[in-house]
Amino acid sequence: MDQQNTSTVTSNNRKLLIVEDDKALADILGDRFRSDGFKVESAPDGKQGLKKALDWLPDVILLDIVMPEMDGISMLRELRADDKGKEVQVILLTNLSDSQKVYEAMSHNVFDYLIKSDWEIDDIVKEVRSKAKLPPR
Amino acid sequence: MGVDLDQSQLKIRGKVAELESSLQDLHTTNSTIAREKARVEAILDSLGEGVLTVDSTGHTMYANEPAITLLGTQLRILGQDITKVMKLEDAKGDTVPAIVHPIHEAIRHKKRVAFGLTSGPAYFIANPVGQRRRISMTITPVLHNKKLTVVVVILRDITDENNMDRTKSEIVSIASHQLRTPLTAVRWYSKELISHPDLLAHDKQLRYLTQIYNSSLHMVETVNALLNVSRIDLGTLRLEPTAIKLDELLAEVLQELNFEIAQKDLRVKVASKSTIRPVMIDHNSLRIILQNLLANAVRYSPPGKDIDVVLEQQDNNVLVSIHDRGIGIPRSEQPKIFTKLFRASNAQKIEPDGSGLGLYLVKAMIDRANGRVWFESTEREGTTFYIVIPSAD
Repeated sequence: MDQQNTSTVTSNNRKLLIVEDDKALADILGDRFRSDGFKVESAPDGKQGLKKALDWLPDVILLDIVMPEMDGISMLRELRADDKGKEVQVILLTNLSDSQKVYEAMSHNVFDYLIKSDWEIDDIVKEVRSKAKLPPR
Repeated sequence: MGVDLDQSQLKIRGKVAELESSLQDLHTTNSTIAREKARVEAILDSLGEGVLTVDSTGHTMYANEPAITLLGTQLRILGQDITKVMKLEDAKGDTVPAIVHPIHEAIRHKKRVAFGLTSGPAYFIANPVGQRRRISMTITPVLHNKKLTVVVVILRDITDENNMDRTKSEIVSIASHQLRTPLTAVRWYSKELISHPDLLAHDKQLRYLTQIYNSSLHMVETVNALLNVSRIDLGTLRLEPTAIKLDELLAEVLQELNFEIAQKDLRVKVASKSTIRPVMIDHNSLRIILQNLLANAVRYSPPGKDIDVVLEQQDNNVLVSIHDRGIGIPRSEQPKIFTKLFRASNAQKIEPDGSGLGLYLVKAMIDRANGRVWFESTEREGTTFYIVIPSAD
């Protein structure tokens, strides 16, 4: 893995922000994307996620919906309301069985893609690479 | 002439006797009918279902006692417009207009109309004491020579079934949501181990395996809580009360919470005001009670705060108080705190994934041990939960 890391880091260096309150999921996504050459930052709720997104200006945000303090949909709305956050690529990452909130997000046209976490982590890597305009690995 | 008169008198007497006999028969028939009517009414009143009849214009003709209990004493007065004595609401709480009242629909189309828990729209009524009740109805128009003579309505209060059904759906929804996160963790971590068995460093492998183990523990806890709730609801929870040393079990539960306590730099102080005698309660129940109350105190306390646990022997009971300096419970939400699936609004902000089952379980299990649980709480200052459990001797 370490050898793989080194080789990928040189070809990537895109910035990924993971906004996810479940530490176990945030950790493994962080591990995986770091080993794929991404610079990774994470935030445990929408409030901190929004601040980090506007300060750090990531290329892609992986965004959970159900979170404490500020949920993903509210964070997205505020992100899009700020000039600095209008263009950032966002992938909603959610386990919500109730799709109501996802429809809400779609109706506001505030996100680019939706991936439910019953996907494999490899699929998420593929989507993020595509959003970050990186070639598939 | 005299003979004619005698014969006429005889004839009249004969007629009178006939009439008297007919009258007697009529009396007998009348009392038989009255007896039969009383018997039929007694049978109808003893039914679990409400039965009422309306005429072809939708006016009341008869109502049995269960129908009167469900819809109100106005039903005792006959000849009333049924849409006025049975005002229906739909699921949203909007009044169903008289024109589309299901009894009118049945009259208009001369067809049977039925709805209940699993069929037709959901209809509600406000009962005489103002409670919203869900009802099921079977409305049967009775025809004679294709002409509508009477409409028989059978109605039932299905609020309890409705609530049970809703709770089940909510539990399934909670189970699926709460199990999906740890299942995703197990899936992703194990896949990484499988995909890169040689590339992951040993400490990383260990961290991944630990995460899989922790996620599986979390799932077992969730499943157990749901099973316990289901057993309580179905009345199949098996309890075996024994004499338990409360302080020892308390120490065990605190030990299990050590990681979370240390992580938030909390100080948990346990004090006994007197010698504590063993308590009489099912071991698993007491563990669940203590786990839930202490885990809540830890979860909703800001870092660095104190949690005080005090044990006190009071005659034949042991009183335990658990005092935290956490977020507290908003006053307006306090009456609902032991309700199944209820979660305080401020708790949801801190922990969106809670199940709303913990305090429901605590209350149900304390009640079954002949104990008591209550609390005092001020928002942003903290909460003290008190439990009283009978001593074993």
